[in-house]
Amino acid sequence: MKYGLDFHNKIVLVTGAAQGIGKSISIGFASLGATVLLVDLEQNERRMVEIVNTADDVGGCAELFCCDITNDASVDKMLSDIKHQYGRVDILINNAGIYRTGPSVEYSYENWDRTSAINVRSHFFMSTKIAKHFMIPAGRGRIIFMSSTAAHFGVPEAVAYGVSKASTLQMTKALAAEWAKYNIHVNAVNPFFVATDLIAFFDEKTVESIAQKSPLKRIANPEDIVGGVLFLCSDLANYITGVHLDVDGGRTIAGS
Amino acid sequence: MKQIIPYGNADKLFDLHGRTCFIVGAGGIGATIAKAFAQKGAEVIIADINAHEAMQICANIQAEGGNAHTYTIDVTLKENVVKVVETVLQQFGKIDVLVNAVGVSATDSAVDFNEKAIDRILDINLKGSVFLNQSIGKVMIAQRYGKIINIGSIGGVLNHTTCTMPYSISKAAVHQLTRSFAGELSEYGINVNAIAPSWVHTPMMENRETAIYEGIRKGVPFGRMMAPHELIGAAVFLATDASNFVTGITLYVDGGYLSCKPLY
Ligand SMILES: NC(=O)c1ccc[n+]([C@@H]2O[C@H](COP(=O)([O-])OP(=O)(O)OC[C@H]3O[C@@H](n4cnc5c(N)ncnc54)[C@H](O)[C@@H]3O)[C@@H](O)[C@H]2O)c1
Ligand SMILES: NC(=O)c1ccc[n+]([C@@H]2O[C@H](COP(=O)([O-])OP(=O)(O)OC[C@H]3O[C@@H](n4cnc5c(N)ncnc54)[C@H](O)[C@@H]3O)[C@@H](O)[C@H]2O)c1
Repeated sequence: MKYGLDFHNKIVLVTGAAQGIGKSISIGFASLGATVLLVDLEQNERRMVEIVNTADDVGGCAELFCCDITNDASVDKMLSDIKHQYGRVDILINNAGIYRTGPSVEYSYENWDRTSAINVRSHFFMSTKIAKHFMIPAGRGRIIFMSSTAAHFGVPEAVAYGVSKASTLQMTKALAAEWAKYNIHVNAVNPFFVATDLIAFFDEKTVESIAQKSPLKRIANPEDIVGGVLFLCSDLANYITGVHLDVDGGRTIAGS
Repeated sequence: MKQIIPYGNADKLFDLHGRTCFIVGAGGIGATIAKAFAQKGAEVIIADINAHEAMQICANIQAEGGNAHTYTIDVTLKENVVKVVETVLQQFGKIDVLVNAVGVSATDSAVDFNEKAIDRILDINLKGSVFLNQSIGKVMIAQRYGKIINIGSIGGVLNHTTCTMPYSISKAAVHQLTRSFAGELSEYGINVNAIAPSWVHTPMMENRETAIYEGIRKGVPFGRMMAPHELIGAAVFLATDASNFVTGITLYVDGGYLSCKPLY
Protein backbone atom coordinates (compact mmCIF):
# COMPACT_ATOMS: atom_id res chain seq x y z
CA MET A 1 0.00 0.00 0.00
CA LYS A 2 1.13 3.51 -0.82
CA TYR A 3 0.73 6.05 1.92
CA GLY A 4 1.34 9.00 -0.32
CA LEU A 5 -1.20 11.02 -2.20
CA ASP A 6 -1.81 10.72 -5.84
CA PHE A 7 -4.82 12.02 -7.72
CA HIS A 8 -3.67 11.19 -11.24
CA ASN A 9 -6.64 9.96 -13.26
CA LYS A 10 -9.05 11.38 -10.70
CA ILE A 11 -11.81 13.75 -11.75
CA VAL A 12 -12.53 16.24 -8.98
CA LEU A 13 -15.48 18.63 -9.10
CA VAL A 14 -15.17 21.72 -6.89
CA THR A 15 -18.06 24.16 -6.48
CA GLY A 16 -17.30 27.76 -5.59
CA ALA A 17 -13.87 27.20 -7.11
CA ALA A 18 -13.16 30.69 -8.42
CA GLN A 19 -11.66 32.11 -5.26
CA GLY A 20 -10.98 31.60 -1.58
CA ILE A 21 -11.00 28.10 -0.17
CA GLY A 22 -12.32 26.50 -3.36
CA LYS A 23 -9.46 27.94 -5.37
CA SER A 24 -6.82 26.63 -2.93
CA ILE A 25 -8.39 23.19 -2.89
CA SER A 26 -8.53 23.09 -6.69
CA ILE A 27 -4.86 23.95 -7.04
CA GLY A 28 -3.96 21.47 -4.29
CA PHE A 29 -5.65 18.64 -6.19
CA ALA A 30 -4.15 19.75 -9.49
CA SER A 31 -0.65 19.69 -7.99
CA LEU A 32 -1.19 16.01 -7.21
CA GLY A 33 -2.15 15.25 -10.77
CA ALA A 34 -5.93 15.56 -10.68
CA THR A 35 -8.23 16.84 -13.37
CA VAL A 36 -10.25 19.52 -11.61
CA LEU A 37 -13.65 20.71 -12.80
CA LEU A 38 -14.04 24.25 -11.54
CA VAL A 39 -17.64 25.32 -10.97
CA ASP A 40 -18.61 28.89 -10.17
CA LEU A 41 -20.82 31.76 -11.33
CA GLU A 42 -20.38 33.22 -14.80
CA GLN A 43 -19.27 36.55 -13.34
CA ASN A 44 -16.16 34.75 -12.05
CA GLU A 45 -15.12 33.25 -15.37
CA ARG A 46 -11.95 35.34 -15.65
CA ARG A 47 -10.77 34.15 -12.24
CA MET A 48 -11.39 30.55 -13.22
CA VAL A 49 -9.35 31.01 -16.40
CA GLU A 50 -6.40 31.97 -14.21
CA ILE A 51 -6.86 28.85 -12.10
CA VAL A 52 -6.96 26.71 -15.23
CA ASN A 53 -3.53 28.14 -16.11
CA THR A 54 -2.16 27.58 -12.61
CA ALA A 55 -3.47 24.01 -12.57
CA ASP A 56 -1.50 23.39 -15.73
CA ASP A 57 1.66 24.93 -14.24
CA VAL A 58 1.53 22.69 -11.18
CA GLY A 59 1.19 19.47 -13.14
CA GLY A 60 -2.53 18.83 -13.21
CA CYS A 61 -5.30 20.14 -15.34
CA ALA A 62 -8.54 22.02 -14.88
CA GLU A 63 -11.59 22.97 -16.87
CA LEU A 64 -14.10 25.63 -15.93
CA PHE A 65 -17.88 25.42 -15.88
CA CYS A 66 -19.95 28.57 -15.42
CA CYS A 67 -22.95 27.39 -13.48
CA ASP A 68 -25.18 28.76 -10.77
CA ILE A 69 -25.57 25.63 -8.67
CA THR A 70 -29.02 26.73 -7.49
CA ASN A 71 -30.26 26.54 -11.07
CA ASP A 72 -31.35 22.91 -11.49
CA ALA A 73 -31.51 22.97 -15.26
CA SER A 74 -28.08 24.48 -15.55
CA VAL A 75 -26.63 21.86 -13.15
CA ASP A 76 -28.25 19.06 -15.17
CA LYS A 77 -26.80 20.46 -18.37
CA MET A 78 -23.34 20.72 -16.80
CA LEU A 79 -23.45 17.16 -15.45
CA SER A 80 -24.54 15.84 -18.80
CA ASP A 81 -21.62 17.65 -20.46
CA ILE A 82 -19.29 16.19 -17.85
CA LYS A 83 -20.68 12.72 -18.41
CA HIS A 84 -20.14 13.10 -22.11
CA GLN A 85 -16.64 14.47 -21.81
CA TYR A 86 -15.18 12.64 -18.79
CA GLY A 87 -17.60 9.81 -18.09
CA ARG A 88 -17.17 10.13 -14.33
CA VAL A 89 -16.67 12.25 -11.24
CA ASP A 90 -14.55 10.60 -8.55
CA ILE A 91 -14.50 13.35 -5.95
CA LEU A 92 -17.04 16.10 -5.20
CA ILE A 93 -16.21 19.12 -3.07
CA ASN A 94 -19.42 20.95 -2.05
CA ASN A 95 -17.77 24.26 -1.25
CA ALA A 96 -19.79 27.16 -2.69
CA GLY A 97 -21.40 29.22 0.02
CA ILE A 98 -22.67 32.59 1.11
CA TYR A 99 -22.77 34.34 4.46
CA ARG A 100 -25.47 37.00 4.97
CA THR A 101 -25.70 38.72 8.31
CA GLY A 102 -28.30 40.83 10.00
CA PRO A 103 -30.20 41.03 13.28
CA SER A 104 -32.66 38.15 13.34
CA VAL A 105 -35.68 40.42 13.83
CA GLU A 106 -34.81 42.24 10.60
CA TYR A 107 -33.70 39.20 8.60
CA SER A 108 -35.39 39.00 5.19
CA TYR A 109 -37.09 36.03 3.54
CA GLU A 110 -34.80 36.63 0.61
CA ASN A 111 -31.61 36.23 2.68
CA TRP A 112 -32.95 33.14 4.43
CA ASP A 113 -34.04 31.49 1.19
CA ARG A 114 -30.90 32.32 -0.75
CA THR A 115 -28.66 31.04 2.06
CA SER A 116 -30.50 27.77 2.29
CA ALA A 117 -30.76 27.44 -1.50
CA ILE A 118 -26.99 27.72 -1.98
CA ASN A 119 -25.58 26.30 1.25
CA VAL A 120 -28.01 23.40 1.66
CA ARG A 121 -30.38 22.57 -1.20
CA SER A 122 -27.87 22.84 -4.03
CA HIS A 123 -25.29 20.72 -2.18
CA PHE A 124 -27.83 18.00 -1.46
CA PHE A 125 -28.92 17.70 -5.08
CA MET A 126 -25.41 18.06 -6.47
CA SER A 127 -24.41 15.14 -4.24
CA THR A 128 -27.41 12.97 -5.10
CA LYS A 129 -27.04 13.55 -8.83
CA ILE A 130 -23.32 12.84 -8.82
CA ALA A 131 -23.81 9.79 -6.63
CA LYS A 132 -26.58 8.46 -8.85
CA HIS A 133 -24.95 9.03 -12.21
CA PHE A 134 -21.27 8.56 -11.41
CA MET A 135 -20.32 7.24 -7.98
CA ILE A 136 -22.88 4.48 -7.36
CA PRO A 137 -22.30 2.92 -10.80
CA ALA A 138 -18.54 3.14 -10.20
CA GLY A 139 -18.85 1.60 -6.73
CA ARG A 140 -16.76 4.33 -5.12
CA GLY A 141 -16.53 8.03 -4.52
CA ARG A 142 -15.57 10.77 -2.09
CA ILE A 143 -17.76 13.70 -1.13
CA ILE A 144 -16.73 16.61 1.07
CA PHE A 145 -19.07 19.22 2.52
CA MET A 146 -17.37 22.49 3.34
CA SER A 147 -19.27 23.10 6.53
CA SER A 148 -18.05 25.41 9.29
CA THR A 149 -17.40 25.52 13.02
CA ALA A 150 -20.57 27.65 12.87
CA ALA A 151 -22.36 24.27 12.77
CA HIS A 152 -21.39 23.70 16.42
CA PHE A 153 -22.27 27.06 17.97
CA GLY A 154 -25.00 29.61 17.92
CA VAL A 155 -24.12 32.25 15.34
CA PRO A 156 -25.76 35.49 16.46
CA GLU A 157 -26.91 37.71 13.59
CA ALA A 158 -26.30 34.97 11.05
CA VAL A 159 -28.79 32.32 12.07
CA ALA A 160 -29.50 31.27 8.49
CA TYR A 161 -25.80 30.60 7.97
CA GLY A 162 -25.46 28.59 11.20
CA VAL A 163 -28.53 26.55 10.32
CA SER A 164 -27.18 25.89 6.84
CA LYS A 165 -23.87 24.64 8.20
CA ALA A 166 -25.52 22.46 10.86
CA SER A 167 -27.59 21.06 7.97
CA THR A 168 -24.50 20.09 6.04
CA LEU A 169 -23.25 18.11 9.03
CA GLN A 170 -26.55 16.25 9.14
CA MET A 171 -26.30 15.58 5.41
CA THR A 172 -22.73 14.38 5.89
CA LYS A 173 -23.74 11.82 8.48
CA ALA A 174 -26.93 10.68 6.77
CA LEU A 175 -25.39 10.30 3.32
CA ALA A 176 -22.32 8.60 4.80
CA ALA A 177 -24.57 6.01 6.41
CA GLU A 178 -26.79 5.65 3.34
CA TRP A 179 -24.01 5.34 0.77
CA ALA A 180 -21.34 3.40 2.67
CA LYS A 181 -22.61 0.29 0.89
CA TYR A 182 -21.52 1.84 -2.40
CA ASN A 183 -18.10 2.66 -0.94
CA ILE A 184 -18.86 6.36 -1.12
CA HIS A 185 -17.20 8.29 1.69
CA VAL A 186 -18.94 11.45 2.85
CA ASN A 187 -17.14 13.76 5.25
CA ALA A 188 -17.22 17.40 6.29
CA VAL A 189 -14.48 19.94 6.87
CA ASN A 190 -15.13 22.74 9.36
CA PRO A 191 -13.00 25.83 9.05
CA PHE A 192 -13.32 28.67 11.54
CA PHE A 193 -12.44 32.12 10.13
CA VAL A 194 -10.55 32.00 6.85
CA ALA A 195 -9.17 35.11 5.16
CA THR A 196 -11.39 35.22 2.06
CA ASP A 197 -13.98 37.59 0.57
CA LEU A 198 -16.67 35.78 2.55
CA ILE A 199 -15.61 37.56 5.73
CA ALA A 200 -14.23 40.72 4.10
CA PHE A 201 -17.01 42.82 5.67
CA PHE A 202 -15.49 42.38 9.15
CA ASP A 203 -13.21 45.27 10.08
CA GLU A 204 -9.56 44.64 10.86
CA LYS A 205 -9.95 45.11 14.60
CA THR A 206 -12.69 42.49 14.83
CA VAL A 207 -10.66 40.01 12.81
CA GLU A 208 -7.64 40.61 15.05
CA SER A 209 -9.65 39.96 18.19
CA ILE A 210 -11.09 36.80 16.61
CA ALA A 211 -7.54 35.67 15.86
CA GLN A 212 -6.34 36.35 19.40
CA LYS A 213 -9.08 34.17 20.87
CA SER A 214 -7.95 31.29 18.75
CA PRO A 215 -5.32 28.93 20.23
CA LEU A 216 -3.07 29.23 17.16
CA LYS A 217 -3.45 33.03 17.43
CA ARG A 218 -4.36 33.70 13.83
CA ILE A 219 -7.21 33.11 11.43
CA ALA A 220 -6.65 30.61 8.64
CA ASN A 221 -5.47 31.25 5.12
CA PRO A 222 -7.28 29.30 2.41
CA GLU A 223 -4.13 27.14 2.05
CA ASP A 224 -4.52 25.92 5.64
CA ILE A 225 -7.72 24.09 4.70
CA VAL A 226 -6.26 22.11 1.80
CA GLY A 227 -4.41 19.34 3.69
CA GLY A 228 -7.53 18.17 5.50
CA VAL A 229 -9.53 17.99 2.28
CA LEU A 230 -6.82 16.09 0.40
CA PHE A 231 -6.45 13.71 3.33
CA LEU A 232 -10.16 12.85 3.45
CA CYS A 233 -10.26 12.31 -0.33
CA SER A 234 -7.21 10.05 -0.40
CA ASP A 235 -6.39 6.45 0.41
CA LEU A 236 -5.17 7.71 3.77
CA ALA A 237 -8.80 7.91 4.85
CA ASN A 238 -10.12 4.55 3.64
CA TYR A 239 -11.97 3.78 6.88
CA ILE A 240 -13.17 7.31 7.58
CA THR A 241 -16.69 8.36 6.75
CA GLY A 242 -19.38 10.49 8.36
CA VAL A 243 -16.89 12.62 10.31
CA HIS A 244 -16.38 16.33 10.48
CA LEU A 245 -12.81 17.53 10.59
CA ASP A 246 -12.37 20.83 12.43
CA VAL A 247 -9.58 22.76 10.69
CA ASP A 248 -9.97 25.68 13.00
CA GLY A 249 -6.68 26.38 14.75
CA GLY A 250 -8.14 24.87 17.92
CA ARG A 251 -10.99 27.37 18.24
CA THR A 252 -13.67 24.74 18.83
CA ILE A 253 -11.90 23.19 21.81
CA ALA A 254 -10.95 26.48 23.42
CA GLY A 255 -13.08 28.36 25.92
CA SER A 256 -14.57 31.72 25.09
CA MET B 1 10.75 24.18 11.19
CA LYS B 2 7.14 24.69 10.29
CA GLN B 3 6.96 25.25 6.59
CA ILE B 4 4.65 27.41 4.63
CA ILE B 5 3.57 25.23 1.75
CA PRO B 6 3.19 27.24 -1.41
CA TYR B 7 0.52 26.61 -3.98
CA GLY B 8 1.11 23.62 -6.12
CA ASN B 9 3.27 21.70 -3.71
CA ALA B 10 0.65 19.66 -1.97
CA ASP B 11 2.71 16.45 -1.89
CA LYS B 12 5.14 18.16 0.51
CA LEU B 13 2.25 18.57 2.91
CA PHE B 14 2.35 14.89 3.83
CA ASP B 15 6.13 14.46 3.92
CA LEU B 16 7.84 12.73 6.86
CA HIS B 17 11.42 12.64 5.58
CA GLY B 18 13.87 13.62 8.27
CA ARG B 19 11.22 13.74 10.99
CA THR B 20 12.20 12.15 14.29
CA CYS B 21 9.17 10.19 15.48
CA PHE B 22 8.91 8.77 18.98
CA ILE B 23 6.39 5.96 19.05
CA VAL B 24 5.46 4.60 22.45
CA GLY B 25 3.61 1.30 22.50
CA ALA B 26 4.87 -1.31 20.06
CA GLY B 27 1.65 -3.30 19.96
CA GLY B 28 -0.56 -3.90 16.95
CA ILE B 29 -1.26 -0.24 16.28
CA GLY B 30 2.07 1.33 17.33
CA ALA B 31 4.08 -1.15 15.30
CA THR B 32 1.97 -0.60 12.19
CA ILE B 33 2.39 3.16 12.44
CA ALA B 34 6.13 2.84 13.14
CA LYS B 35 6.67 0.72 10.04
CA ALA B 36 4.71 3.12 7.84
CA PHE B 37 6.49 6.20 9.17
CA ALA B 38 9.87 4.53 8.57
CA GLN B 39 8.79 3.67 5.02
CA LYS B 40 7.94 7.32 4.52
CA GLY B 41 11.49 8.31 5.46
CA ALA B 42 11.10 9.15 9.15
CA GLU B 43 13.63 8.26 11.83
CA VAL B 44 11.60 6.05 14.13
CA ILE B 45 12.20 5.47 17.84
CA ILE B 46 10.05 2.74 19.34
CA ALA B 47 9.58 2.36 23.09
CA ASP B 48 7.59 -0.23 25.01
CA ILE B 49 7.66 -1.93 28.39
CA ASN B 50 8.13 -5.13 26.46
CA ALA B 51 11.70 -4.74 25.18
CA HIS B 52 11.57 -7.92 23.17
CA GLU B 53 8.50 -6.81 21.22
CA ALA B 54 10.02 -3.41 20.44
CA MET B 55 13.30 -4.95 19.29
CA GLN B 56 11.51 -7.34 17.01
CA ILE B 57 9.68 -4.54 15.26
CA CYS B 58 12.81 -2.45 15.08
CA ALA B 59 14.65 -5.34 13.44
CA ASN B 60 11.84 -5.75 10.90
CA ILE B 61 12.00 -2.09 9.98
CA GLN B 62 15.79 -2.17 9.68
CA ALA B 63 15.62 -5.28 7.52
CA GLU B 64 13.47 -3.30 5.10
CA GLY B 65 16.03 -0.49 5.03
CA GLY B 66 14.23 1.77 7.51
CA ASN B 67 15.73 3.85 10.25
CA ALA B 68 14.65 2.54 13.67
CA HIS B 69 15.81 2.41 17.29
CA THR B 70 14.32 1.06 20.49
CA TYR B 71 14.05 1.94 24.16
CA THR B 72 12.41 0.28 27.11
CA ILE B 73 9.91 2.47 28.90
CA ASP B 74 7.30 2.11 31.61
CA VAL B 75 4.89 4.99 31.11
CA THR B 76 3.45 4.66 34.60
CA LEU B 77 6.75 5.83 36.14
CA LYS B 78 7.21 9.53 35.62
CA GLU B 79 10.99 9.51 36.31
CA ASN B 80 11.41 6.71 33.83
CA VAL B 81 9.49 8.60 31.14
CA VAL B 82 11.52 11.75 31.78
CA LYS B 83 14.77 9.80 31.63
CA VAL B 84 13.95 7.99 28.40
CA VAL B 85 12.83 11.22 26.75
CA GLU B 86 16.08 12.92 27.85
CA THR B 87 18.15 10.08 26.44
CA VAL B 88 16.26 10.14 23.15
CA LEU B 89 16.73 13.89 22.90
CA GLN B 90 20.46 13.58 23.60
CA GLN B 91 20.87 10.95 20.97
CA PHE B 92 18.68 12.40 18.21
CA GLY B 93 18.75 16.12 18.96
CA LYS B 94 15.00 16.61 18.51
CA ILE B 95 11.62 14.93 18.70
CA ASP B 96 9.23 16.10 15.98
CA VAL B 97 6.39 13.67 16.56
CA LEU B 98 5.03 11.67 19.50
CA VAL B 99 2.66 8.80 18.86
CA ASN B 100 1.21 7.62 22.16
CA ALA B 101 -0.08 4.12 21.39
CA VAL B 102 0.15 2.49 24.81
CA GLY B 103 -2.98 1.03 26.27
CA VAL B 104 -4.44 -1.85 28.24
CA SER B 105 -7.93 -3.02 29.02
CA ALA B 106 -9.77 -5.61 31.10
CA THR B 107 -13.39 -6.64 31.28
CA ASP B 108 -15.79 -6.87 34.18
CA SER B 109 -19.16 -5.44 35.05
CA ALA B 110 -19.03 -1.79 36.09
CA VAL B 111 -20.48 -2.49 39.53
CA ASP B 112 -17.98 -5.25 40.29
CA PHE B 113 -14.81 -3.92 38.68
CA ASN B 114 -11.85 -4.70 40.91
CA GLU B 115 -10.06 -1.68 42.36
CA LYS B 116 -6.57 -2.91 41.51
CA ALA B 117 -7.64 -3.52 37.93
CA ILE B 118 -9.11 -0.01 37.73
CA ASP B 119 -5.89 1.49 39.08
CA ARG B 120 -3.77 -0.40 36.58
CA ILE B 121 -5.84 0.74 33.60
CA LEU B 122 -5.95 4.36 34.73
CA ASP B 123 -2.22 4.33 35.61
CA ILE B 124 -1.22 3.14 32.16
CA ASN B 125 -3.82 4.72 29.89
CA LEU B 126 -4.47 7.98 31.70
CA LYS B 127 -1.46 8.86 33.83
CA GLY B 128 0.95 7.29 31.34
CA SER B 129 -0.53 9.52 28.62
CA VAL B 130 -0.22 12.58 30.87
CA PHE B 131 3.45 11.80 31.62
CA LEU B 132 4.24 11.37 27.92
CA ASN B 133 2.45 14.57 26.92
CA GLN B 134 4.19 16.46 29.74
CA SER B 135 7.74 15.35 29.02
CA ILE B 136 7.50 15.47 25.25
CA GLY B 137 5.53 18.72 25.51
CA LYS B 138 8.50 20.32 27.29
CA VAL B 139 10.89 19.17 24.58
CA MET B 140 8.58 20.55 21.92
CA ILE B 141 8.14 23.88 23.71
CA ALA B 142 11.93 24.31 23.59
CA GLN B 143 11.88 23.38 19.89
CA ARG B 144 8.90 25.65 19.17
CA TYR B 145 7.58 22.78 17.07
CA GLY B 146 5.97 19.41 17.43
CA LYS B 147 3.10 17.08 16.72
CA ILE B 148 1.55 14.91 19.42
CA ILE B 149 -0.84 12.11 18.53
CA ASN B 150 -2.67 10.30 21.32
CA ILE B 151 -4.63 7.14 20.54
CA GLY B 152 -8.05 7.40 22.13
CA SER B 153 -11.02 5.21 21.29
CA ILE B 154 -14.65 5.28 20.29
CA GLY B 155 -14.98 3.63 23.70
CA GLY B 156 -14.26 7.06 25.16
CA VAL B 157 -17.28 8.49 23.36
CA LEU B 158 -20.01 5.85 23.62
CA ASN B 159 -20.71 2.77 25.66
CA HIS B 160 -19.08 1.07 22.72
CA THR B 161 -18.11 -2.20 24.33
CA THR B 162 -19.72 -3.63 27.41
CA CYS B 163 -17.79 -4.33 30.59
CA THR B 164 -14.91 -1.96 29.92
CA MET B 165 -15.87 0.90 32.24
CA PRO B 166 -12.36 1.96 33.39
CA TYR B 167 -10.95 1.62 29.88
CA SER B 168 -13.71 3.85 28.52
CA ILE B 169 -13.12 6.40 31.25
CA SER B 170 -9.40 6.40 30.47
CA LYS B 171 -10.08 6.96 26.78
CA ALA B 172 -12.49 9.83 27.43
CA ALA B 173 -9.66 11.23 29.55
CA VAL B 174 -7.23 10.84 26.64
CA HIS B 175 -9.57 12.92 24.45
CA GLN B 176 -9.78 15.58 27.15
CA LEU B 177 -6.07 15.66 27.94
CA THR B 178 -5.56 16.12 24.20
CA ARG B 179 -7.68 19.29 24.40
CA SER B 180 -5.90 20.49 27.55
CA PHE B 181 -2.41 20.04 26.09
CA ALA B 182 -3.51 21.41 22.70
CA GLY B 183 -4.76 24.59 24.35
CA GLU B 184 -1.62 25.10 26.40
CA LEU B 185 0.93 24.17 23.75
CA SER B 186 -0.68 25.92 20.77
CA GLU B 187 1.24 29.15 21.28
CA TYR B 188 4.51 27.25 20.68
CA GLY B 189 3.42 25.92 17.32
CA ILE B 190 2.66 22.47 18.70
CA ASN B 191 -0.35 20.47 17.51
CA VAL B 192 -1.89 17.93 19.87
CA ASN B 193 -4.59 15.65 18.49
CA ALA B 194 -6.14 12.28 19.14
CA ILE B 195 -7.21 9.43 16.90
CA ALA B 196 -10.23 7.44 18.06
CA PRO B 197 -10.49 4.08 16.32
CA SER B 198 -13.42 1.73 16.61
CA TRP B 199 -12.58 -1.99 16.40
CA VAL B 200 -9.19 -2.74 14.92
CA HIS B 201 -8.55 -6.20 13.61
CA THR B 202 -5.51 -7.07 15.75
CA PRO B 203 -4.57 -10.59 16.90
CA MET B 204 -6.45 -9.78 20.12
CA MET B 205 -9.67 -9.65 18.10
CA GLU B 206 -9.28 -13.06 16.45
CA ASN B 207 -10.78 -14.92 19.38
CA ARG B 208 -13.69 -12.57 20.09
CA GLU B 209 -17.25 -13.83 19.91
CA THR B 210 -19.00 -13.87 16.57
CA ALA B 211 -21.60 -11.54 18.16
CA ILE B 212 -19.09 -8.72 17.80
CA TYR B 213 -18.66 -9.40 14.11
CA GLU B 214 -22.41 -9.58 13.62
CA GLY B 215 -22.83 -6.27 15.48
CA ILE B 216 -20.24 -4.63 13.27
CA ARG B 217 -21.78 -5.98 10.09
CA LYS B 218 -25.13 -4.46 11.04
CA GLY B 219 -24.08 -1.43 13.06
CA VAL B 220 -21.14 0.03 11.15
CA PRO B 221 -21.86 1.60 7.76
CA PHE B 222 -18.73 0.04 6.25
CA GLY B 223 -19.90 -3.28 7.68
CA ARG B 224 -16.48 -4.57 8.65
CA MET B 225 -13.70 -4.15 11.16
CA MET B 226 -10.76 -2.03 10.11
CA ALA B 227 -7.34 -3.47 9.42
CA PRO B 228 -4.52 -1.92 11.49
CA HIS B 229 -3.03 -0.35 8.35
CA GLU B 230 -6.21 1.67 7.90
CA LEU B 231 -5.17 3.79 10.88
CA ILE B 232 -1.92 4.84 9.26
CA GLY B 233 -3.39 7.59 7.13
CA ALA B 234 -4.84 9.46 10.10
CA ALA B 235 -1.46 9.26 11.84
CA VAL B 236 0.35 10.52 8.74
CA PHE B 237 -2.08 13.42 8.41
CA LEU B 238 -1.71 14.44 12.05
CA ALA B 239 2.09 14.01 12.01
CA THR B 240 2.73 16.21 8.98
CA ASP B 241 2.31 19.78 7.78
CA ALA B 242 -1.03 18.76 6.22
CA SER B 243 -2.59 19.30 9.66
CA ASN B 244 -0.78 22.46 10.77
CA PHE B 245 -4.07 24.26 11.41
CA VAL B 246 -5.66 21.31 13.22
CA THR B 247 -5.29 21.04 16.98
CA GLY B 248 -7.20 19.57 19.90
CA ILE B 249 -9.37 17.33 17.76
CA THR B 250 -10.30 13.71 18.12
CA LEU B 251 -10.34 12.17 14.67
CA TYR B 252 -12.73 9.24 14.45
CA VAL B 253 -11.58 6.37 12.29
CA ASP B 254 -14.65 4.23 12.62
CA GLY B 255 -16.13 3.31 9.25
CA GLY B 256 -19.07 5.64 9.87
CA TYR B 257 -20.05 4.02 13.18
CA LEU B 258 -20.62 7.29 15.06
CA SER B 259 -22.56 8.89 12.23
CA CYS B 260 -25.69 6.78 12.59
CA LYS B 261 -27.86 4.51 14.69
CA PRO B 262 -29.14 1.83 12.33
CA LEU B 263 -32.89 1.34 12.63
CA TYR B 264 -32.84 -2.33 11.67
N1 LIG C 1 -14.11 32.15 4.95
C1 LIG C 1 -14.48 31.65 6.11
O1 LIG C 1 -14.21 32.23 7.17
C2 LIG C 1 -15.21 30.35 6.17
C3 LIG C 1 -15.32 29.72 7.42
C4 LIG C 1 -16.01 28.51 7.50
C5 LIG C 1 -16.57 27.95 6.36
N2 LIG C 1 -16.45 28.58 5.16
C6 LIG C 1 -17.11 27.97 4.00
O2 LIG C 1 -16.17 27.69 3.00
C7 LIG C 1 -16.81 27.75 1.72
C8 LIG C 1 -15.99 28.63 0.78
O3 LIG C 1 -15.95 29.92 1.33
P1 LIG C 1 -14.88 31.03 0.97
O4 LIG C 1 -14.49 31.64 2.26
O5 LIG C 1 -13.87 30.51 0.06
O6 LIG C 1 -15.89 32.09 0.26
P2 LIG C 1 -15.75 32.95 -1.06
O7 LIG C 1 -16.86 33.93 -1.00
O8 LIG C 1 -14.35 33.47 -1.20
O9 LIG C 1 -15.99 31.89 -2.20
C9 LIG C 1 -17.25 31.30 -2.39
C10 LIG C 1 -17.40 30.99 -3.86
O10 LIG C 1 -18.67 30.36 -4.04
C11 LIG C 1 -19.23 30.88 -5.24
N3 LIG C 1 -20.68 30.76 -5.29
C12 LIG C 1 -21.58 31.37 -4.49
N4 LIG C 1 -22.82 31.06 -4.87
C13 LIG C 1 -22.71 30.23 -5.93
C14 LIG C 1 -23.67 29.59 -6.78
N5 LIG C 1 -24.97 29.76 -6.59
N6 LIG C 1 -23.21 28.81 -7.77
C15 LIG C 1 -21.88 28.65 -7.96
N7 LIG C 1 -20.94 29.24 -7.20
C16 LIG C 1 -21.36 30.02 -6.20
C17 LIG C 1 -18.83 32.34 -5.22
O11 LIG C 1 -18.92 32.94 -6.51
C18 LIG C 1 -17.39 32.27 -4.71
O12 LIG C 1 -16.46 32.15 -5.75
C19 LIG C 1 -18.22 28.27 1.98
O13 LIG C 1 -19.12 27.19 2.00
C20 LIG C 1 -18.12 28.88 3.35
O14 LIG C 1 -19.35 28.89 4.03
C21 LIG C 1 -15.77 29.76 5.05
N1 LIG D 1 -7.05 -2.68 18.99
C1 LIG D 1 -8.18 -2.00 19.03
O1 LIG D 1 -9.25 -2.45 18.61
C2 LIG D 1 -8.19 -0.58 19.56
C3 LIG D 1 -9.33 0.19 19.37
C4 LIG D 1 -9.36 1.50 19.86
C5 LIG D 1 -8.24 2.01 20.51
N2 LIG D 1 -7.13 1.24 20.69
C6 LIG D 1 -6.01 1.85 21.42
O2 LIG D 1 -4.84 1.88 20.62
C7 LIG D 1 -3.68 1.80 21.44
C8 LIG D 1 -2.80 0.67 20.95
O3 LIG D 1 -3.56 -0.53 21.00
P1 LIG D 1 -3.07 -1.91 20.36
O4 LIG D 1 -4.22 -2.54 19.72
O5 LIG D 1 -1.83 -1.67 19.57
O6 LIG D 1 -2.77 -2.71 21.71
P2 LIG D 1 -1.60 -3.74 22.03
O7 LIG D 1 -2.01 -4.46 23.26
O8 LIG D 1 -1.26 -4.53 20.83
O9 LIG D 1 -0.36 -2.78 22.37
C9 LIG D 1 -0.25 -2.04 23.55
C10 LIG D 1 1.23 -1.94 23.90
O10 LIG D 1 1.38 -1.15 25.08
C11 LIG D 1 2.45 -1.71 25.82
N3 LIG D 1 2.38 -1.32 27.23
C12 LIG D 1 1.51 -1.76 28.17
N4 LIG D 1 1.80 -1.20 29.35
C13 LIG D 1 2.84 -0.37 29.17
C14 LIG D 1 3.59 0.47 30.03
N5 LIG D 1 3.30 0.61 31.33
N6 LIG D 1 4.60 1.21 29.49
C15 LIG D 1 4.91 1.09 28.19
N7 LIG D 1 4.24 0.28 27.33
C16 LIG D 1 3.23 -0.45 27.83
C17 LIG D 1 2.28 -3.20 25.64
O11 LIG D 1 3.50 -3.89 25.91
C18 LIG D 1 1.86 -3.29 24.18
O12 LIG D 1 2.98 -3.48 23.32
C19 LIG D 1 -4.18 1.61 22.85
O13 LIG D 1 -4.22 2.87 23.49
C20 LIG D 1 -5.57 1.08 22.66
O14 LIG D 1 -6.39 1.40 23.76
C21 LIG D 1 -7.08 -0.04 20.23
